[in-house]
Amino acid sequence: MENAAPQLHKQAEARAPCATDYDDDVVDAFDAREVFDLIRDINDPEHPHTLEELNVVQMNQIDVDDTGNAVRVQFTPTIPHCSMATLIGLCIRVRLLRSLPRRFKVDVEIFPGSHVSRDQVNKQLSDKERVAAALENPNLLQVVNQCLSH
Amino acid sequence: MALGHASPNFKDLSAELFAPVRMRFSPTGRQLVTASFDGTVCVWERTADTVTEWECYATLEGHENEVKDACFSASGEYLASCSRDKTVWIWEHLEDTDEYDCCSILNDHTQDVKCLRWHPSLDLLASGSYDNTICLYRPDPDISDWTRVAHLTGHESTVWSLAFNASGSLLASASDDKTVRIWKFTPPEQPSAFSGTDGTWTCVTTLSGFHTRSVYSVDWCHVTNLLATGCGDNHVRVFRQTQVESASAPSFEKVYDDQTHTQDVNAVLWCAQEPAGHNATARILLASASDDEVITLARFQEMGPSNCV
Repeated sequence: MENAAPQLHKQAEARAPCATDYDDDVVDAFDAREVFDLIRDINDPEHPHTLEELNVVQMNQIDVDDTGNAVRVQFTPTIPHCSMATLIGLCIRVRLLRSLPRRFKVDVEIFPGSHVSRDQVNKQLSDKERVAAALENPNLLQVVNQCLSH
Repeated sequence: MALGHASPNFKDLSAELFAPVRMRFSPTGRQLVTASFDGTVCVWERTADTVTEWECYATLEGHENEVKDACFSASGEYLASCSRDKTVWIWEHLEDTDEYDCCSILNDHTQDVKCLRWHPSLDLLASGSYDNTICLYRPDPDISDWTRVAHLTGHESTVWSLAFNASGSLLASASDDKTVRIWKFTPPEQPSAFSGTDGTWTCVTTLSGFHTRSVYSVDWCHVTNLLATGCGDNHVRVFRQTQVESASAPSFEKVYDDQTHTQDVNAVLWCAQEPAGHNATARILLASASDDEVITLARFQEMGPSNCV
């Protein structure tokens, strides 16, 4: 393991209930908090912690444009040469692929300056043929599903 | 572009194929080549004069993993295929045995080869790759093999699609860098047996600022000279060349912009028939296929779109 003792961070409070939560006539727009709630519990491939606990994903590094159908998630690997960066990005992409309406264009990128191979990893994660090919691989798909399970 | 999209009047080949990703007809229309995720290329032949009877008469094996593209040369003599294994394979059709034999394996790209396109009349093949570059190849009789005659650099990300104009003097390339580049051929100063293929290709125009995401497909209509693109921003766009081809820097204007698709547009393809007589007009259709599982057809006149079908 490359980073045996990662620093842990405080988890966000649960979203406060709202009076209109159960009112079908009120439309709740997609926002950064909703996307954050979808990806915060993803398990790190190496550590027994979630991406939120490791500060790999943070709410202020998520941009959501509900009317423009765009979601951008930036994530920060725990160390700049983390070999798991592509896998973590793939897990985030798959979770959003399975959860968000298909109208959204989703970009998953490494936060600038946080990884030595940032451009290479970003290019792989944005190539839909490579993502599809990765998910055709049963072993890799099993690893991804483990990271996405609770 | 699964074959399963075909209407019930057409033969559904999808059950016999593993995830076909790209397919092209031969120049005669009697053959169809399909590239598959399982690493194989299949050649299908129409066995009767109806469109419903097709038979797989050759399965070409050799690529290590997904085949991204496959297409016939203009003469029908050659078939080319490319793969994530970084190679381009050239297959030669042997008249006497009616078989395809691999006659060259080209290793010029350093990453996945995403797309192929043959010159409209010559044995000149172009390939585009995840390594951001384009290669052009022709047969070399001196070594009985194929050789690279040009390596085009300039795109800042994956080259997804290529298209020649009708004469083959211009090549359009669509890229993940959100641009389409136009490359112009200049024959060599010293004429030779290979003057048609061995000149230089220079990027003379870059269409930027039109596409807001990856450009996945480009196709050049050989009757109207209109250039169509399919983009990850859900748009189908058509550009018209505003200067004659002899101009050193051809310029283009956007004449059509359609966003009826709700997801990425993966493929655009022209179907054009020359006018049947003096007063007749050309019949021009533009097909587009998208991740939204819809195929749209738009009818065009020489100068622009008339109406959507």
